[in-house]
Amino acid sequence: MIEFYNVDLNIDKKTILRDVSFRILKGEFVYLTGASGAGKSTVLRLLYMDLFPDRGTVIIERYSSAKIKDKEIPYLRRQLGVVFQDFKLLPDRNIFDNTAFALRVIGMPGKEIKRRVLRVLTDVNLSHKRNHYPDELSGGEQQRAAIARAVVNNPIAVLADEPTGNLDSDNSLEIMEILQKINQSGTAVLMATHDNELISAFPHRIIEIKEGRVGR
Amino acid sequence: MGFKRARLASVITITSLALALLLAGYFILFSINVNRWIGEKRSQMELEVFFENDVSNAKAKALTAQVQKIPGAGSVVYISKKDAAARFEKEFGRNIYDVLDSNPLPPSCRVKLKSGFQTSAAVQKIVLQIGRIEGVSDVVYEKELLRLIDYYVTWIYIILGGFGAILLFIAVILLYNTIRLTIFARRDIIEIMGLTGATASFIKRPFLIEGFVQGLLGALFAGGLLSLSVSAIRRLLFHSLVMQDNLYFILIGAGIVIGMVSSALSLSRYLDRI
Ligand SMILES: Nc1ncnc2c1ncn2[C@@H]1O[C@H](COP(=O)(O)OP(=O)(O)OP(=O)(O)O)[C@@H](O)[C@H]1O
Ligand SMILES: [Mg+2]
Repeated sequence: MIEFYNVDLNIDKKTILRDVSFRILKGEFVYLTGASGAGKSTVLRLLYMDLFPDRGTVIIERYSSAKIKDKEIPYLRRQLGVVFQDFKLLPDRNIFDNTAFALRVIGMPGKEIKRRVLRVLTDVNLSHKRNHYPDELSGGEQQRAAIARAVVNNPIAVLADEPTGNLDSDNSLEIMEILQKINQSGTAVLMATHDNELISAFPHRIIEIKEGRVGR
Repeated sequence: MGFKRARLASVITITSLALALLLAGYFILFSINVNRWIGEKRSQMELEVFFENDVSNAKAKALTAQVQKIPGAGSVVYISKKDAAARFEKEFGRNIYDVLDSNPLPPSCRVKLKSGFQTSAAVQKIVLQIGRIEGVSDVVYEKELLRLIDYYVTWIYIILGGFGAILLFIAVILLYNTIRLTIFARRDIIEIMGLTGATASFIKRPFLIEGFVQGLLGALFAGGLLSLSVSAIRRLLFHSLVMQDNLYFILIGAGIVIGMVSSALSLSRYLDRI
C-alpha cells in the first residue's frame, strides 16, 4: 500500500536518504524513528509528495512518484491525513470550521460536511469545544482537532510527524489512544517519534533511519 | 473562505493600484492633450502660393487646380487679385487704389495640408513641388514655427515615453509587493489547503476573485479621481481640456487584468507543485 523502493534524496547536494526501502501494509501501525535530523520528516514529505526522490520510487496505492502528474497530487493527498507537531490549525476559525476545512476544500456538500465533522469530533472527544477557537484550547485539544481534520475524509493512512512532541505525558497518552482507535478502524498510521516510552507503552513495528539508511 | 484577515493589506493594495492607475490616467490625459495641441498647430499651418503678377484670372485658377493635385494638398482656396485687394482693405482699413494707382497684389492660393503631410520634411517636399509649377512665383509658410514644433515634439515624446515607462515600472513593483505580502500573510491557509488535497485551481480561485475585485475597485477610485480632476482642470485652467471617455474603460480593464495577474503571479511560488 505504501512503499519506498531504493529511494535516494539529496537536499542542496547533501545526502539525506540513501537507498531507503520499506513497505507499510494496509491498516498497519508503524513507528518511524531516528535521531533529530535523521530524515523522519523528509520521509513523510516524500509520502505526501511535497518532495520527490532523486532515485528510486515512492508508491502510495495507485500513485507512483515516478509517474504522478502535478494535477494528481491533490487527489493523492485526499487519501492521506497529515498531523504535525505544531498542529497547524487556522487561528481565525473555530474547531468545527478547522475540521470542516479538509472537506470544504475538496468541494463536499455542506450537509454531508456537518454530519462527518460532528461524528469525527465526537470520536476525538471534542464535540463540546466545536465552537471554540484554537487559542482557547489546550495543546492536547488542539492536537485532537488536528487529528480530526486529518481523518475526517477517511484517509487510507495517517502520517503523524511527532504528534506528541509538544505535549505532556497525559496528553500524549490520550493522543496515542486516539491514534490506536483510528488504526483499529482500519486506517494505517505512520508516526514519526523519538519518544521511546510511548513506543514501549504502545508497541508496534519500528522503521529506524540512521545515517540516511533504514536498518533491515 | 474567510478572507477577513489582512483587510488592511487589501486596502493598501487597492490604494496603490488606484494610485498607479490614476498616474497612468493623468499621463494618458496629458499625452492626449499634447498630441491634440500639436495636431491643431500643424493643421493650422497654411501655405500661401503666389502666382506671377501678370497671369490672367483664368490662368491663375488653372494654376490653383494644379496645386490642388499635388499629393498632400488638402483644401485649396483661390484668392484673385480682387480678393487680395478686399483683404488688404479689411486688414489695413484703406482701399489699395487710394494708395496706389494699380493693384500690385498678385493672385494667390492658400493651401491646407492633409494630416500626415504636416511635418517639416513633408512640407518642404510639397513646397518644392509647387515651386516647380510654371507661373508660381513664391511659396510662403511658417517655416520656423514648423521646425520648432518638429524639434520639441521629438523631445516631448521622448520625455513622455520615459516618464510613462518609469511610472509603469513603479506601479508594477508596488503592486507586486503589496500582493505578495498579502499572500505571504496567508501562506498558512494555502499550505493547509495544499496538505488537505485542494486543487491548485481551487486554491487560486478566491485569490483571483479578490484580485479582480481589488482591480475593479482600484480602477473605479482612479476613474473617479481622474474625472474630478478633469472637471477641475476645465474649470480652473484649461477650458478646452480634451478627455476621451473610453479612457475610463481602459483603466477598468487594466485594473482588473493587473489585479488578477499579480495575484496569480504572487501565488505561483506557493503552488508550484500542486
Ligand atoms: N529545506 C531544507 N533545506 C536544507 N536542508 C534540509 C531541509 N529540510 C531538511 N533538511 C535536512 O534534512 C535532514 C533531515 O531533516 P528532517 O527534518 O527530515 O529530520 P527529522 O528526522 O524530521 O528531524 P527532527 O527529529 O528534528 O524533526 C536534516 O539534516 C536537515 O538539515
Ligand atoms: Mg522532523
